[in-house]
Order: sequence, then structure tokens, then C-alpha cells
Amino acid sequence: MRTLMMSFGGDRYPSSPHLVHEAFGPSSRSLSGILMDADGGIVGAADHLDLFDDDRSWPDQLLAARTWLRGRLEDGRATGKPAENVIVHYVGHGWFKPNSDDHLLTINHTDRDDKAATSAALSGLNDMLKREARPLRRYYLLDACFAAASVRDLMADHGEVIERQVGQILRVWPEEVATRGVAALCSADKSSIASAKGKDSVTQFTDGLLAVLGEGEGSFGDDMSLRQVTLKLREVLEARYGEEMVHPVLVAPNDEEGGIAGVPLFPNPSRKGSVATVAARVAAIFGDLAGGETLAEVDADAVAAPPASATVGTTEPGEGLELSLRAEIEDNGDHQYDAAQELDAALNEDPNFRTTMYRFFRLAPSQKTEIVGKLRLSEPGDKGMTELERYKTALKRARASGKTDSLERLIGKAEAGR
Amino acid sequence: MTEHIEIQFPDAGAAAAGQLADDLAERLRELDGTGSVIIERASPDAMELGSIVVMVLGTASAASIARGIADWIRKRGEPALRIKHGKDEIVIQSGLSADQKFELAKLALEKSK
Repeated sequence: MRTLMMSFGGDRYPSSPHLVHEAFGPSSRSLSGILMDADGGIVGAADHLDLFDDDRSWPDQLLAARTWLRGRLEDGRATGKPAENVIVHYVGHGWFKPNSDDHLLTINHTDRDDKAATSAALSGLNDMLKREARPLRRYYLLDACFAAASVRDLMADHGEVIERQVGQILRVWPEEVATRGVAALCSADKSSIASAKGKDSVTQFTDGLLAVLGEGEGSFGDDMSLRQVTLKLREVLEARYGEEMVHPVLVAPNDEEGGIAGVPLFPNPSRKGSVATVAARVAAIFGDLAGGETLAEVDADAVAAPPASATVGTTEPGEGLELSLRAEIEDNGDHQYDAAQELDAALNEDPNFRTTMYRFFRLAPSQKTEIVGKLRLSEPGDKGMTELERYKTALKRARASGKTDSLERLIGKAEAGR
Repeated sequence: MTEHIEIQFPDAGAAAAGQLADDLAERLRELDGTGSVIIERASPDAMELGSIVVMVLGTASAASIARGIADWIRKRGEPALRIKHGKDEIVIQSGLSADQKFELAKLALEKSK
């Protein structure tokens, strides 16, 4: 699977020296470095366009990106190795234009006195990518304050319903593996400040991503999807930064071809050389069974309402699930289909339970642990499971043993205490 | 002695505070004799452009700047302002009359003088 990559942002800021931060350069270079690594990277050297620290205006950078992209696509046709993905990485400052919802990003060209006219807006880049590289999956890794606000620009013409509550973005989408579309992993939601103070002289978001991409996760398959990366990223950031953690947000659309955040894209170093086990694949399916959302998003603070909300999209709860299962059947064979059916029966007979699951996974880790303990939903054999698997199993037990009411009551109490 | 004045938006979220700071700074620069007006970040590690308006008073009178601030508050939907002038600090809450806001802003700007 051939993947292209574009890096944007500023390092020197000649017209706005106060915007310089020593973490930006290392962050951009280290992330592109790990994705281009000769041993396990997914981007070839010729397939990376580095416009980070470029002094040109944003329109000129877009034209440069377009020319480069056309060349890469032509190369794909000529060599018979067409690109399937394009990753856009940005690191820098994000801000809102006064009296508007326009989210802008700083680049070297950004001028202190004319910020809006000299900064970058992702909508222009996304328009170009859609036009020039429509068959490609578009992934955005956005590291800036209020980064999730730029997602509105990426999805505006998809007819997407992006519900904004106070400083939050709500999104659900189906789980089928799509051939094209857009997904964005953002360092902060639309009202939060991202932090450039990460370990090892990179931003916090970059530090977490480097750890996830560099170490992987044993419970995932041979390759990690953006959704799985998000899940692991949240764990890593929480462990490393505690209360100073800035919560990353994954947003992906429900477009005509389905979401792409579930596509296995990034090599999983912890599984290198091994064959993905059935358990890992079932765990992935289990994510689908959360009702069109994996636990990464279910757990995200940015999500503020149950997935069954009629206002969120046109996909009925069961619809995304069926598509997910079909996709998994093609990939994995009947034995896993049976396992998926079993899990489906356990968790999805009652759509209301999906909402309960959703609320549960939004709680803090200590609250989840307390609830599992109070309801005695754990067993000694759970010790070998990952935290995620333990919670999933506990919820399954709660439902099977008729403790749903107690579970909901405790979740309500925990929510009130947040 | 140079008169540094900081204006913050205690009731606004980070994103909204940045927008308000940009807008107020623009308004203050339009006034005659305001002096220098810049925006600073609360933390150097924040990946935003800042939400604290820092003004160095020029030749304009405190009353004229206070009038400009009070007018701006009214036009921008009555956001609360915290004005720090040296060791003194005054918060202009929403819900006050236009005259009260003007008097408070004037008082804040005149403090330490």
C-alpha cells in the first residue's frame, strides 16, 4: 500500500519571531522520520513533500503541493504502483479569526500584523487533494491549538453533520474499510490548547505519536489503523502527562464510501514478524460492535452524546455493524464471523446498551475500575487481558448477569461526580 | 515609568478569549495615541497566538481609552474583562451599565498613575 506524505508548518517565522518554538522543527522532522524509516516506515523518500519551514505564502505552497502530487500520481501510473493514501502533517499554532469560525494555522509566511491574510487554512489544501487525488484516502495529523476546528473545513462539502456543542465536536461513522475518504487525528479539540511542552524536545502530541508508532501495541494486529493509534495514543499521553495531558481527538466522516479510520495503515512494531492472532482480529471486530465507533472515540472527551442519536447521521445503529461484519468476513473467514456473531448477540440485542457502553467508556479510568469492582464484573482470569479487553468483558458480563440497571446507576453517579 | 496594562477575558474559553483579544487589540490600535498594543500567550508552550492584550500607554488620556474599551464591550456582547495595571486589578463584569463600565475602565487605567 503506497502512501504519500506532506509536511506543513513553520519553524523560523521570520515575520513573527514571537511564534517560534523550539519543539516545532524536531516534531515535524521526527514524525516524518518515523513514517519514512527504512525499517518499517510506510512513506518512501520520494513520496514525502517537506514544506515544513517553507517561506512561501500559503497559495504558493498549495501550488507547489499540487505540482508535486501530480508528479507522484503520474509516477504511480507509470510504475504500476499507485498511491492509495496521502498523509498531511501540520505542526504549529492554531487560532480563530476574530468574529468568525475560521480556524487558521501559522506558517513561516504568517505576519504579525496581518495574520489572517498570511496564514494557512486547510480547506484550500483539502479542496486540492479532493480534486487531484480523489481516489486516495486522506489522513490528517494536526498538531495545533483548537486543531479539531479545522476538521469542519475538511468535511464541509460532504454534507456531514458535525454537531458542535460547547467546545466539542460530535461524530459517529460506520466501520467498513473504505477505499477513499478523510480522517483527522487532532492534538486538541476545538476549544483546547495544545501543548508544545513534550518530552524529548517535541510537542506533547508528537511525543505520544512517536511512542505509539515506535512501540506499537501487542493486542492489535500486524498493522494499526488510525483509530487504534488514537486509542493507544490516549493511553500513552495519560501515562506520560497525567493531568497535563491534552486529549487528542479523532474525527472521520461518514461519506459515500464510508470511514477510513479503521484501515490498517501503520506497521505495529510489537507484532513485527508475527501473524495476527484471531483474538486480535476479534478485538478489532469488538470495536465495531461498540456501534460504529471503536473505543478510542467512545472514550474521547470530545464526544458528548450517545452514538444512537438520530441527529448524528443517517446510518442506523445496526447498519454500520452489518457492513463492518461483512468486511471482516471477507478478511478473516467463517470462524471469526462466528465469534463476531456471538459478540454481536451479547452486546447489540438492545440498542440502549450501546448507549450505556458509550457512557461507560467516557468515564475516567479510576471510575471505570470502581464500577467494575462494585458490580464484581472481573474474574481472576482477566489479569492477562489488556485494560481495554477487561472493560469489554466486564460489560459483557454485566449484561449477561442482568446488572444493566446497576451499571447504569453507577455510571450516572460517576458522571455526576465528574 | 512605562505603563504596562494587561487585559484578559476571565469568562471566555481559550479559543474565544483569543478572538476577543485580537478584536480588542485592533480596536485599541485604532484609537489615537494608545501606544503599543500586542497580544501575548499565557504560556510560551501554548500552540496558539495568545489571549492577553498588553498595552503600553501612549499619549492618549485614560478617559479616551476607557471610552473605547467600554464601547467595544457593548459591541462585542458584554464580555467580562480583567484589567491589570501594576499591582492593581479590576474586573469589569457583564451586567453593569455602560457608564459603570466606562468608570471602571477609567479607574483601572488611571491606577498607579
